[in-house]
Amino acid sequence: MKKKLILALATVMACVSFAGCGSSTASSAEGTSTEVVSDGEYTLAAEQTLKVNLGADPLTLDPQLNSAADGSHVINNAYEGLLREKDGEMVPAIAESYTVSEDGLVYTFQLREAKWSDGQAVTAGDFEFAWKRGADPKTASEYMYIFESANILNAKEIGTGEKSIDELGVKAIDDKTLEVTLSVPTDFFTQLCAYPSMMPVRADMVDNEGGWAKDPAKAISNGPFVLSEYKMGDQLIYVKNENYWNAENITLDKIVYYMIVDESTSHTKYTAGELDINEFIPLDEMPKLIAEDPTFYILPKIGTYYYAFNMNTPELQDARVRKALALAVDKEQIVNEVARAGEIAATGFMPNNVLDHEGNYFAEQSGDYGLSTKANVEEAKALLAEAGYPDGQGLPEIEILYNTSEKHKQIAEAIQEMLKQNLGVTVKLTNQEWAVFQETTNNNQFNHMARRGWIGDYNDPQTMLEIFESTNGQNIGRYSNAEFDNAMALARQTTGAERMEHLHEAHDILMEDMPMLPIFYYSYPIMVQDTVVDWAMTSTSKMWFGDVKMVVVEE
Amino acid sequence: MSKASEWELVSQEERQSQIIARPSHTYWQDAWRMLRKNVLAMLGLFTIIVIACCAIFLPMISNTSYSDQQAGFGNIPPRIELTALGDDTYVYVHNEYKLIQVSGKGEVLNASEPIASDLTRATKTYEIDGKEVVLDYSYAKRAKKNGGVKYKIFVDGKEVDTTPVKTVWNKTNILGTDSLGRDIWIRILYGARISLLVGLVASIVNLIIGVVYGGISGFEGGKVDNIMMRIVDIINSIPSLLIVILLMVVIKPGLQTIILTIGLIYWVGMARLVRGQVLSLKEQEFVLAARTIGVSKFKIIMKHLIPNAMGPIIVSLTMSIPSAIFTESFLSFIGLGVSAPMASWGTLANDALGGIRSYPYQLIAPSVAIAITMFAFNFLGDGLRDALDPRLRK
Repeated sequence: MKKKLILALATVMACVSFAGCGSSTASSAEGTSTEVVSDGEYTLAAEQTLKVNLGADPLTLDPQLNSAADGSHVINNAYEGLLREKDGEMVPAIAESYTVSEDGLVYTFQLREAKWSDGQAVTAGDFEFAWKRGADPKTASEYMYIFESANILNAKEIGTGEKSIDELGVKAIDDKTLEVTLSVPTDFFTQLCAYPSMMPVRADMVDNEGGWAKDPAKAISNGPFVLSEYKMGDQLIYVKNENYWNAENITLDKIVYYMIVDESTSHTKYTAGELDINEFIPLDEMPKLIAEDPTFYILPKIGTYYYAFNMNTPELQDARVRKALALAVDKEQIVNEVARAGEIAATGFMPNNVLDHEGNYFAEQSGDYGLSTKANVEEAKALLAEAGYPDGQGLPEIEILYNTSEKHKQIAEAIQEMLKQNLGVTVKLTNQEWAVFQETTNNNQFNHMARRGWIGDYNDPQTMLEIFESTNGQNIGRYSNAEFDNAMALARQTTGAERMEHLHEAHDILMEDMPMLPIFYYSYPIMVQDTVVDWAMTSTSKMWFGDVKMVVVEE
Repeated sequence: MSKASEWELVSQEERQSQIIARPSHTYWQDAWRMLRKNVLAMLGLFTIIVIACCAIFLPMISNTSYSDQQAGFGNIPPRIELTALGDDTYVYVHNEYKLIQVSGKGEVLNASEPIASDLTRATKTYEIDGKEVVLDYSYAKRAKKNGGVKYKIFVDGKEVDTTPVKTVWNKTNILGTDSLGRDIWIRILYGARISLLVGLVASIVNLIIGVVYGGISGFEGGKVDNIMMRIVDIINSIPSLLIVILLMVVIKPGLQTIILTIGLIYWVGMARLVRGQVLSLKEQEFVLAARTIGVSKFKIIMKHLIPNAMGPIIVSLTMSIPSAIFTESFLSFIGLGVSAPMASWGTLANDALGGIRSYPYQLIAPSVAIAITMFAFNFLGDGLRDALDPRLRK
């Protein structure tokens, strides 16, 4: 069943992208990164300007302070880290080469001759400054934990205040040599070297609030594009950075990022040809566009949409009740008739595109734990009766909390009806505005279930599993199982196959306990005009415009 | 030449006809008489009564509920274009490229899942009346080049003409269904209950608080007026959204909260208006007369000042009903309203907004309902103002 689904997705993808390119061919690279590569037969358009909708005015464009998707699209094209992900592989960027010590703990990066947009040289010191800035609790970066995830020496202790920031395992040996020391060998460390939080910034430009990053006079960057104009709530204009080390291979002259919030407006602008890339598409239009529009793409995304169970609620402390609720939901129906954006119905918590150390699909290896994408009403009823609530009798009204949004609402309404029909459980829906919702859920103040989506930071099972560790701030249901924590701790200290074994063990425990109701694995629906070629999306869903060319398409 | 008598008695009839008088009517009888003559106002009143009756009684006798979802029947419009598969079998080709079996009269029969669905070739295979029906929508992507052909249908391997043979009204769901397959007509009826209740109750609360508060403030004047109006200023200066969010923390979201919120905030306009009217009226002679004969303050306000200020009050009241209905839909949107799947008209319109390109009927239905109600209240309000204003009385 599972294999078929993956296959189905792969074929959809292939079909969607093949049809979409006309004169170009599509290649879905290894892993989950996606790139639409042209075959070289095109006529360049006279105007090399790319127009993209960001959907909102990014809260910040400071690489260390940013924690939002819109900001990381912009940062990924304005700054450049040690490495960059291309075709699903980490290729040298500012670092020309690197060596790893035999014990896998010390990485030595050799930096190339690269310049900032104002002409100054990019030095190893810039990296040291930026990384220490990101890991410093005083900076209060939401992504401080990424340095801990990367297992950089002392990052954890610095985060808790036990050690000073000077002790972070990163050191500029000279201007062109950067040495990074890890606490344990980490397989995915190189992946994180391309992460926005790990991109260099200029010590003489930054401030603590991140306001500098939106000021064209101060926002000096080392990537292919540099900020030229910022119109608050309206536009961000980036132009080609002539001092970029690889500037000769950059064709685009200008990127205009719009900040159109309303999906209908954004979609109208796209259909009128005033936007080149748009990912803000009204839900009700999706199925039609998937079938009709050759410029509609469904890209994979590492992430799971789920409902977290509150483990402190008495009736939900029984795993049978949690399982019964999870089994009674027909995920396939939600994906096909409610979400409708090419998502994949979930059988577990691990998205099916997460890879293990050998490049195999982690979820495929672990099996589906007897969960199917369809509702299993018989078993759900039996479990609920076993737990002492036959036909839902005796079970109080279950509350589903979600943040205000059309899509979340429709999904919640569909699940409400399913639980009522299949189990006889009455469900109450409550919605809260995003800021209030985050406050409520982060403080575990919801009654039964709260909507949650978790998007992976890197392509590794750990990024999905670590949010269920009892100390993790994202563990909103306050799930706590010593065995699970132990398996995760062991995974952090080991590498390769052994590490995967521990992660599989953690995953097994998690699925046995079911502290969440998985609904679907995210997809990334996006519309890109035929006139844009060689655009790419990294495996962690950040857009890369460095290779983009605007071309003339013959009707 | 003289006549026997140049003077003669007028007949009883003639004497009666000279009397300029009318039957004595009470204030409200008079108002009702005036109102009855106003065609638009009566139309408005009639419409409100009809809508209210529909909202109260129709859901009682209906066998579907506002929350009943029909899987597979989502987004079916009120007007269905039928494609003939021969032998009195018709299908509707859904916007989302699926086949829905419909009878020739417009009853939606079957939206079964396809027996096979090939995403790569963009085909779906159905079994309808024992025949294998294939919907091939691979043409959709090239529709512009192919002269608009978006799909082809094959019955048992033979291509059929896909030009719609007729367009019928949807008999199963007269106003169509929303994206979860819920009947829009039933949802509008339930929505009417909420919208009308909120509109009426909130306006009445506004009226009572506003009139009493403004009346006292205006009539007393001086220090009392000063203090009372400053309180109004303070309430007015706090953004209502802030009060609403604060209230949400204290009280559980729901219908009561909405009514309470609107009642708590929106009476200030009414209070100011009444105060202004009372300030100018209280200087007039009839008030002085009432005072000299010792009428109590409360009676002066209620019997003399308020009826004279009734015109502006009624206008303001009729305006506050639609604004309360609008406020309710806004509050529902930010999460303070009735919780899903219950929906007021505002929520219904809001939900339909995303699909406006493909399914405009979902927006039209609640919008028309809101518009009709607004018109009805406004017409009635206009009529009431004319009927209740003592200065306009003939």
